[in-house]
Amino acid sequence: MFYDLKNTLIQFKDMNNKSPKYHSKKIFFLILFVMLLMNSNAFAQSTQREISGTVTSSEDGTALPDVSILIKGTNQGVTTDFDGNYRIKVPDNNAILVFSYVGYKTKEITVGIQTTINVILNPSTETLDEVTVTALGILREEKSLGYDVETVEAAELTRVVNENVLNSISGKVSGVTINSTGGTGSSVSMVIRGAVSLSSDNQPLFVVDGVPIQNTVDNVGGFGSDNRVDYGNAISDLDPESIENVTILKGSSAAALYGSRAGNGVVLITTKKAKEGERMQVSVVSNTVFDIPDKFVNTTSKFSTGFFSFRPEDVGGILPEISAGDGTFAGPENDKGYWAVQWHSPKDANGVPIPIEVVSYPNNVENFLNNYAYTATNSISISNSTDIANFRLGYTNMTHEGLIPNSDLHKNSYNLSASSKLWDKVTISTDINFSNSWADNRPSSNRGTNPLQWAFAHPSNIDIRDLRNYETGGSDILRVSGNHENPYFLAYGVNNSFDRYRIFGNVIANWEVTPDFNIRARYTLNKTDGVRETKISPGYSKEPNNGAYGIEMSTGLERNMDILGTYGKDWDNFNLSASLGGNIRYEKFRYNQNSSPPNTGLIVPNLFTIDNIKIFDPLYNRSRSSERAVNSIYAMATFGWKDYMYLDVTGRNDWSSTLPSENWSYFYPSASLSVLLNKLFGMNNNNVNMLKLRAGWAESGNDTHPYMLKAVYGNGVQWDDAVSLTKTSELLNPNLRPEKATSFEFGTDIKLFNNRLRFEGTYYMQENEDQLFDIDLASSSGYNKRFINAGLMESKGWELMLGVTPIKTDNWNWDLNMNFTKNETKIIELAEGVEFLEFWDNARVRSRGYAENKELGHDGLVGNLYSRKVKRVTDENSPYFGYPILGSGIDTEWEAEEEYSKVGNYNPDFIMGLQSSLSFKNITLSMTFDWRSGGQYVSQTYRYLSESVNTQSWLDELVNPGELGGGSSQELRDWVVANADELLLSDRLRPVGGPTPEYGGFPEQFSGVTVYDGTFAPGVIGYHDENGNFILVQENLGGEGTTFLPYVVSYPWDIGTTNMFDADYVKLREISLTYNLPDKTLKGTGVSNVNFSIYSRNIMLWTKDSGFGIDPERAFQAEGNGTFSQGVERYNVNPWVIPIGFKIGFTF
Amino acid sequence: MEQRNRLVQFGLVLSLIMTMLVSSCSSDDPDREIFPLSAEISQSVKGRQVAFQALTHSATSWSWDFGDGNTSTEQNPVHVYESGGYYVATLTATDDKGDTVVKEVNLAVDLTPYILLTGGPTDVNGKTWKLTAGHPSEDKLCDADADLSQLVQPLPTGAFDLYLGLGEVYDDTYTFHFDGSYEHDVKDDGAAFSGLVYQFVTTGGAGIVSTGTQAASYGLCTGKYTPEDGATFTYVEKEDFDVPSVYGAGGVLTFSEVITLDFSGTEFVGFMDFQRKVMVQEISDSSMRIVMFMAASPDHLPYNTHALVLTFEVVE
Repeated sequence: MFYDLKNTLIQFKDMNNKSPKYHSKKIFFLILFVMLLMNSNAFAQSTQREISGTVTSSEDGTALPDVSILIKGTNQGVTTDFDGNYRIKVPDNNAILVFSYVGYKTKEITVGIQTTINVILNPSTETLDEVTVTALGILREEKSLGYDVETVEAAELTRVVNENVLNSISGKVSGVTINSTGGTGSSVSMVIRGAVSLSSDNQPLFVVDGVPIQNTVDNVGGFGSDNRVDYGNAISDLDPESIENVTILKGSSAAALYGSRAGNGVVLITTKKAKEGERMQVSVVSNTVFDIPDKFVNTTSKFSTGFFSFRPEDVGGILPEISAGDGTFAGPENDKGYWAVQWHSPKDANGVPIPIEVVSYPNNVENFLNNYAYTATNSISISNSTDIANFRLGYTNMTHEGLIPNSDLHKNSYNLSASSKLWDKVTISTDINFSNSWADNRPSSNRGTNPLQWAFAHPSNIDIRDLRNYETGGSDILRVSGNHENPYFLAYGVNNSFDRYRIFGNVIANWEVTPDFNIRARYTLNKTDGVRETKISPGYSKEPNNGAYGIEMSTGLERNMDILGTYGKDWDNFNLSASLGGNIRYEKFRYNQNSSPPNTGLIVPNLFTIDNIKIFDPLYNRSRSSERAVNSIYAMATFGWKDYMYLDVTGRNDWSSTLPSENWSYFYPSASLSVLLNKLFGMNNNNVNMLKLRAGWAESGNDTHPYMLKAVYGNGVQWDDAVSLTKTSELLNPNLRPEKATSFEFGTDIKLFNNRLRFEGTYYMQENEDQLFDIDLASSSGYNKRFINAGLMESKGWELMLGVTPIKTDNWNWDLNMNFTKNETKIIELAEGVEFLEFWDNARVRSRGYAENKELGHDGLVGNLYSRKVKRVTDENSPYFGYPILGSGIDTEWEAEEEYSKVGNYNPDFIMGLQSSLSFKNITLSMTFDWRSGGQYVSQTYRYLSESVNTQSWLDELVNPGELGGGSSQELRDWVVANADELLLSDRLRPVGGPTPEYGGFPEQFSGVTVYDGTFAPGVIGYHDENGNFILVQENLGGEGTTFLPYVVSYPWDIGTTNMFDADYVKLREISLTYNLPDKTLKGTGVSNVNFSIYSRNIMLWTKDSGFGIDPERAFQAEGNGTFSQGVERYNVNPWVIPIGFKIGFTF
Repeated sequence: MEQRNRLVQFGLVLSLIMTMLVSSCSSDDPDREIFPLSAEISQSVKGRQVAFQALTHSATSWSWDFGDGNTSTEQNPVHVYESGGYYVATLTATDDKGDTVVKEVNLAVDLTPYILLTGGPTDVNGKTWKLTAGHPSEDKLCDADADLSQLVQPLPTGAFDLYLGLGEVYDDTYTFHFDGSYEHDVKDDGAAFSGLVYQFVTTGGAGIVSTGTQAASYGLCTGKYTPEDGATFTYVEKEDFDVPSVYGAGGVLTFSEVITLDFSGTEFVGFMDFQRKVMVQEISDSSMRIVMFMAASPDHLPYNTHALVLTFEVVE
């Protein structure tokens, strides 16, 4: 209306240019006239009744401004004011008021005799015309898409605050697997539709407001011996509070327009913008979360350190000195009233240590850690919209203090989005994000400087708090033995800091040449500058020369310039949208590293400068830089027929600098089709809201890392004055071709009964050909690896989503959404002469990939785990058939076969997510559950801790022979044989005996004294002759001749399967209770949208193998050498926590 | 950002309350079990001063009789005997019900090392020693240098058995008589703890009886040995002891003012190698620590390269 008025005024002004005197008067009359027109009906029917009321939202009870209220059958109407109030005159009692508002369902109310009509509008679940951001940022109606796209909205992402936005996606979308290595600040991996590349980490491409951001999982840094730090992903620089929504383009059809990097899917992130026509708003959100430790790895505190569990009756009175240096937990039993000289013994008048009582300190790890981790996230944003420009400015500060003492993480993010109409047809907009993430100390992981490793290794009979003041004034710090590190020192004396600045954003010009033709030009930039620094004070035994120092300074840049022309036209039955565009991408990365070589140290302690490094070694003072450029041209067209059939066709050609010039150009097309059966068959009623069938086919190509074509020399070891030059051990290939992925997908989207029942199902298949990866080469060739193009991988899977709204009344609303993901990736073909690829080798388990071959018994699955099983009697005629064959003498233990066989797979069978949102008036209870079924993982932590008999789990595995204990006997042997299924034939390896007579310990004399801590591995000693007959040498079944070994050596270190666990779990990803203050109570305060929530997240509800206390989700090990191992964990042992979070938000 | 806004403070307070509710003092020390009345005596002797410790459960009073006519009611008294000799000290511990428990301890106060080694003129059977498997923290395998620099990690209890598979070395006994005679019993295996290089050089390897499981990688083994009849030992209380060593200037290292033990004929104590004379680092009534040298490098014979510092205990 205003617009028209303005135009009229301009015309009027032009008309009266020559008689300015009458100008103002005439304008006055004109305005009066317009106003009269507007209200003509009101004036004409002044006897009519007036109705008033308020319109609110059923979602949160807030008042809805600008709701349009129309008298049905007329064009008379009003809108609600800012507080949702309206007044309207109606002609009679039969008048029907139509309330409509964007995003809400239209409501019709017959006036009757009411004078006050308060209306609650329900949000519209009508999604037929919902728009989704797709490739290249093109907004598309969801109904027209022939492939599966899932969107997570801001409310879902920030209901429960997560430092890394990826964690907020967990459990909410199908087809996506999310793993993290630890708590706040650790790396998070996201894999869409299974790992399809053999050489990369399979992470999708993130595109934030058109700016591509690569999120790798290899973020392990740290200098010095065995000092490995997980610095977390790049994507954690994003401020979750500034995100409007996250759209996941899963298949390559969805991603075909993003080129090489989109082979693993694309995650499109749109940040919040000011909404046109919205008045100035300031929003504040404050989050505080406390992570309270709840469950620790179940080490045992029952036994002190030592090799033999002496008792006073074995040695007479006072026990021998308990040496903390024995890293094993098989010493005398704690809390039995025994006396022994210990590490913390006081000295008597002669300076001799006094025996003290042997007691346990079961809460050592808990006492070492902070009582809780603390994260505060505070955000403020200002948005405004004026005639000239729209802008939104946001600022978020995050402060985190970790569970490990002296660990922290901070983040400041600023983002600005602004747009302005330059003139009628041209809009300029920009999004700029600036973030600074830093930490004074990120705790180390893995083995080495990880404080938790040493807290768990701390002797159970010494209070860990005795180590807190570790400065002794002497040459070394306080430690319980030379074999131990002091966890307090590792927390305070090893500091791994980082400081990263990132600026990314875009400038976009959009020119609406004609209503049908539009050109967009865009420039995007993503630039990072980071410093990582390691400072190790004297006190770490692997850096004995005054500690260590290292610094890395890195800078990265990616620049894209693209232009896209789009032509769109609607005819009667046919509509067309066609785009043609091009992109120029340039990347540059550089870093410098200077560090003291491991074990060589600093000149003076605690001076952390490069000049103070004792030995200059070119291998530890280096710089690298790399560049990459990719140019692309792409085109896309969508044909729509009668609003029920849509066909998409895309094509893209890339030219990549990383490939040889003859192969560096590669083209890949895609096509997809969407058919709306409900429209085709005219089922337009409220029971069938959508019935869509879709199908897509796409190809995508992938290049490789820079500089993979030609070998160059690098610095090697220094020999006095001479520096050697070395050539890489990897044989490079100058004839590489791009990888090629082809995918198909079929699916359906169904929405029924007013959208109260929703279903989406997709079946997909993807084939990856010509993979780029390393194969082993005989070292005699001068190389040990070769980089090749070969192989064929195939991924298949199902993604299902079911949504139900079982309850929907004015006060109550209950939404349930379930999603289901099942993926299987197979290797169909490897390179000539390559039997298998080995991804990792950990704890006597190897992750290998064999090509599918039914004859050889290879299923070809990616993620298969192989190990050498326990050697058993294979002679079916032997009475010992199936019994384990043991070593002899002191090695009378289980032995492993020569051959490796498949023992598991680290990938889940399926993943299910469930989201429930139940609201009553202004209170909403939301929950997200995540169920992972199937798969195994390998725990190095369990292996290390059990080998030193430090786990309760292993103690529980020992079989107590009860009355049959005390020594070898025929009765014991018969009992073992009678229980053969459990003790001899099972894959679970359980020694018989224990650390003391109470546990069934047998007498043994390895210490020169008789100690009752013997155990034996049930089995037989012998061999198979050339005919395959088993020849027995000696039974080891508990009868005469059985070898009893001390409890301390009972763990089968060489049997990989002992370290394997089932990875099944159910997690409560999120639970939150939110209360929205009704706006009427806030009336007049100028404050609105006030909400409080209390929430928690990531609570482990159930694990199949929960005994030991490892979170299966963390079976994901980022290695220092640029690779990462899935399905294995090595001291990812942060305790399970119960977070308690509080959120307060308001707008004014 | 230093000043957190009020909302955050509010959240903080609320959360702290929750924290307290959830963790409810779980990090405090657990309640310890109370054991019925019992007593053990621990003591150390330095010169004529003896520091006693009554290690008791549930006792409320302690009564000591030092065996020289003096008494004490302290729990952990320190007593200085007027003259050296053998004493029996008695502890009587009483609980709150009046029940008592009595413990005795035999003391050898201010005796010469020679008496501690041999049991003195009254001990007709002499004093018998053997290697202790419960290696105290001072036990080590080390370089034959002036500092006896430790090579491998401290020896755990039963190390030679568990890691080397040479458990039999803990069985052999060595008896020292006040009159200077010496008896050596190699037990059933007829072999003594020995150096691998020594065995190869002197017997061509024929003398090796066992290399256990891992012993060879440390250059250790057991070697055939028949103890000599009528053997004697020589005890010197203070001597500058010259040891051939690859670490010494001119191939000799001198340890000043140390106690040494040497043996007649082919006899030795503890470890059979080229070097038979050993150095006693510390001796008490019940234990002594001896440094035994070892020539483990065939290129540098007969210079010692390594040493074993091991503790012997009295065989009752």
